[in-house]
Amino acid sequence: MVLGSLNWLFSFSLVVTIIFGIVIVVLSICWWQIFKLTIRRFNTEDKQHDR
Amino acid sequence: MIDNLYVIAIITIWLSIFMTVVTLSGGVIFIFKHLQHTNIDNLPPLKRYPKVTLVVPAHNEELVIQDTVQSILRLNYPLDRFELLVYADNCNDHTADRVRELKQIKEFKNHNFRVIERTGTGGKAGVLNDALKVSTGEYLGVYDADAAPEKNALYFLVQKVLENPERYAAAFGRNKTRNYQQNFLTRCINLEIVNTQRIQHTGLWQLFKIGRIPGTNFIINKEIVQSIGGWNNGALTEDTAISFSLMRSGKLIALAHRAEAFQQEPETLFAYYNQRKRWARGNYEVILDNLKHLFDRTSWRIKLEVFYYVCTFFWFNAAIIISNTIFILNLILAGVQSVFPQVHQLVSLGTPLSVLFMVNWLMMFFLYLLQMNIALASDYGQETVQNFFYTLVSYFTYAQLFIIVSIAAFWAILRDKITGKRHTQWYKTQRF
Repeated sequence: MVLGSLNWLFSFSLVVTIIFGIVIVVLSICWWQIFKLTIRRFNTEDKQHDR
Repeated sequence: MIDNLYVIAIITIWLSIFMTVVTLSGGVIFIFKHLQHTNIDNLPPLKRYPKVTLVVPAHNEELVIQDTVQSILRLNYPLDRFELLVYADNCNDHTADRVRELKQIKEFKNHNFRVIERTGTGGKAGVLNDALKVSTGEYLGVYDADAAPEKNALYFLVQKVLENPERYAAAFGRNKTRNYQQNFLTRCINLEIVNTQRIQHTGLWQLFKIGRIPGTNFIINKEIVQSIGGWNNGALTEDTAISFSLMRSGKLIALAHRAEAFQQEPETLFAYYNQRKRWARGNYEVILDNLKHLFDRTSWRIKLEVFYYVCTFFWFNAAIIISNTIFILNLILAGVQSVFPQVHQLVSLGTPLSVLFMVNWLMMFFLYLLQMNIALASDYGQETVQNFFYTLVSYFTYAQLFIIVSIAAFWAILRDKITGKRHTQWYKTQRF
């Protein structure tokens, strides 16, 4: 594939890709937070249920 | 030519990433807002208890009907405020007898339920239209014959519509797979359902107040359904059709995320293929019917829904098929090139553009894993190492089945248009 007249589009694509990458990193942090919070909550519920 | 293809391809990838990111963000906000624990053993009384007519359309469901009816009769809702109508629709098994047997059980003696043996046409939509005529409830609730509700499901559905009865024409809950441990297929279906319920539904509700009636585990205001002419008789996906009708009339379909029901999913590829082909075909028909609303003065929610469906069923599907074809052609050409060096591949790897495409694809794949795992983490007992590996494998296997199903459904529509006949039959989902 030859870039031809799409040089500017390649730079633009790179910027958009980086922005998406940052959003995905933020969402990954959210996953970790949800994972920690739900595991704690589910464990607490299990202990209450066992009593 | 190659320039234009590049632009179309990159826009398609970005649009699909953007749509996923938006829904996922909505889902994440919803999960964070609803993380607090609900003490289901000590629920406050509702402002009022509107009468609800629960309907179970059943076509040859003798294997599962008793479990479903018993779960419904044990719902945490005042006995005099709900009635249950089980429609044995064109049955040639013992569905009706199985329901009548429950009448003999002491626990259910005082419950208001009956079985109606029906021989009419129209399928599930026909049953629901019949129920509209005889029901005495202010709301109509629907449970499929294989969907056993959790005991507070109706309480949560009613609680949701009462938050804004003028605006919320219906409320729908969550469905869980009760046979997900059966085999690889049911485990993958379970992942799909958890993702749909925990991310798609919550995300769209959180951001846009858009809800879709899922076919089971929902209640709907009877007067409003009557005012829009009831269900579309014979529709393959009567749930999608009525969702669009409600939204066109300016009403909302609210998500009651705590109302849960457990349903049985197909355990064989044959049963899965037929069920999903019917759904895909039904959805194609509803999209085509509503396509005109993209360009008229209908509510923006309808436009968004139509756009979402068009992207998923037409645009992205076509893009996947084309890219898979190019990928296979490229592999073949690479093989030929090793014998005949003068032959060139369509796309040469290693150029900046190819690397960029690869990065975008990896991002999409990671987003898929992320979405699945956020959904699993928010559902009790689902975020396991085993399920993580299933999410990895399902991307390359189960998820690809959608392409086959949607092509088959599209072909069926085309064939019917060309021949002027309707060949597709309403295939009943097999129970196990």
